Amino acid sequence: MTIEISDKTYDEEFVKKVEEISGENFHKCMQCGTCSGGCPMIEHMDIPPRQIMILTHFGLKDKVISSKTAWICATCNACSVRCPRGIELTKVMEAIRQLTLRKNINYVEPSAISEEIMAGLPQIALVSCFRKHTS
Amino acid sequence: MKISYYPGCTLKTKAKNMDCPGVAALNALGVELVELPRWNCCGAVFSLADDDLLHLLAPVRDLIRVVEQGDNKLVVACSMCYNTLARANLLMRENSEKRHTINTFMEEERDYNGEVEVVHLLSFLRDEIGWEKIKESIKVPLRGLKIAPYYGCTLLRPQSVAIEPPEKRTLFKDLIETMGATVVDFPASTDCCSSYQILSNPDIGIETVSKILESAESWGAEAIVTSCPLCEYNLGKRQEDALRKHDKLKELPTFYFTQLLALALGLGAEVCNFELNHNGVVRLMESKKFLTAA
Amino acid sequence: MSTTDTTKGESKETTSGKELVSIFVMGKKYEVPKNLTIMKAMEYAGYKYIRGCGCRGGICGACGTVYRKPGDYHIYVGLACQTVVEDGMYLTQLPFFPANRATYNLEAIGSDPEEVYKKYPELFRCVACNACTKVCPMDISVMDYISAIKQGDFEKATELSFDCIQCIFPFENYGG
Repeated sequence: MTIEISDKTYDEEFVKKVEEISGENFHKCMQCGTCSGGCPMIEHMDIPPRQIMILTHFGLKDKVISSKTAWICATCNACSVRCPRGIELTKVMEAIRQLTLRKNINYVEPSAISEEIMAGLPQIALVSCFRKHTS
Repeated sequence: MKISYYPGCTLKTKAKNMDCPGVAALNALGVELVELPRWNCCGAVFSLADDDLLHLLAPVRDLIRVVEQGDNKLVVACSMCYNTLARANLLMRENSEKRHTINTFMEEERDYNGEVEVVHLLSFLRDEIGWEKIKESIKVPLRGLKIAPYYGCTLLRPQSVAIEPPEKRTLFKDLIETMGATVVDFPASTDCCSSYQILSNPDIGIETVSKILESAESWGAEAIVTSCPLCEYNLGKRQEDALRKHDKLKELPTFYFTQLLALALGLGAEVCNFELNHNGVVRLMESKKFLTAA
Repeated sequence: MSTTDTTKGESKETTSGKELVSIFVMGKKYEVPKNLTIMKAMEYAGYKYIRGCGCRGGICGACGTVYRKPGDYHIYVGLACQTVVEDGMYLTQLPFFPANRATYNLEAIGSDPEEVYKKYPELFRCVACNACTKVCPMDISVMDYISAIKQGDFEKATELSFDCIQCIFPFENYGG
């Protein structure tokens, strides 16, 4: 995959927003890949977490925002506790989700969940899912 | 001994089979778990956005209720609630700026500065009751039962609220051995069960669950024990979906640790609400003769 | 203090001996006798309710009104037919907005908490901000009874919410 990186592709505002919402310095990432190696969801992601870090660092907003990776992340923190640079990747993923959710766009629509599924689910599934995937 | 107790919404309904045996077991061990008289949903997940304080209000309100009771310790049984409450508590202790903003916003509540200690029920068993005392109280040893302890994520991550060091974890092992059963440590013990993705991306959720079940089975487990109602839902109630997708998987009963403890303490199946479990839980317990022994 | 607060009206005596206070309706200042309810004060000021004023008895909830007081950052909510005017009160009548109302047959669905969850999944988005309790004109602990429903405790929810007058619904009945 060839990626063009130039001052034209660098979205400074996007980088600043992710820094601000996550409160994390993801520029420290040294691309070791420990996060991707330990991620239980990696096979379902289109872009591995390690690449999300470098793409965000380079301000490639469209690639990061259109990726489904942040939506597949279940915030299990396996990456965060192993990161040798001490980056809480789950906070970076949260920031990436928030950039979409804060535009009032839902990933999961509560009213579209069937009554059968609603009736079977434990409350914590609903609460955590709505917290992570609705605006 | 009396201690403030936060059950969480799920334990009051879908996971009564975690709440009831827990309360009964602690009672048998001389501890009265006193449910907070007024509490609200903690939010299930800790707010990870640095600029989002709104989602901290719910857990902080619950901690304020503990102070209102004149208490300074809160026992939580549900792993997700524990993680959310413990992290919110740490933030209120350590971040004076956010603490001030939150306290100012909740003008109808008293100020909170992180005075309460949030303790998971498993830690409470180890630290406040002790394995020795529990061992003395065991009436029905769960001899011959091979149990795989499933920690999941929220008991061990992040480090700031981990109930023990993840790489040197012994809590479930000690509890299982205290009850007279055999521990089957398996590699997927601390993997993620897919959590809320079971709702957002059910197919991915079922795949994740299948891997955990496969790991536990390949190491010879007859049952899985957990402390999280969402892990139990994914691994237990949704196990059917995993079995349907993968022929090689076998039925693997899942329990809450409170159920096994109540059973081992001789409190009988009545307090365990096994009807809320799935996949052959009662069958397994009957075949081991743990239900008739009491 | 010698400065005059321009937002605060001064109480005056009328020729009939009734004390007047100033209220603001849609930005316009009116002198009205104190001790009147918001609803009567507005009629005194010349407004006429053609429809939608409701029962006038504090039961139906049609006259929900938002108001502020001078020098106070709070936003208050009350029923216009029950709340007595205060000097400097700044009033805004609630516009019509439809509530999300599920249709169901109470006898057919039974009393499982899941039935409520099915009809109102948005329950699980509650963040316990307590804004609902603060705006309730009937002083109901709304946050607590919503919590009780999430905990499957209908008895507690019923007790806590008993005084609810469903103030959002009559707007539909009266067509706003």
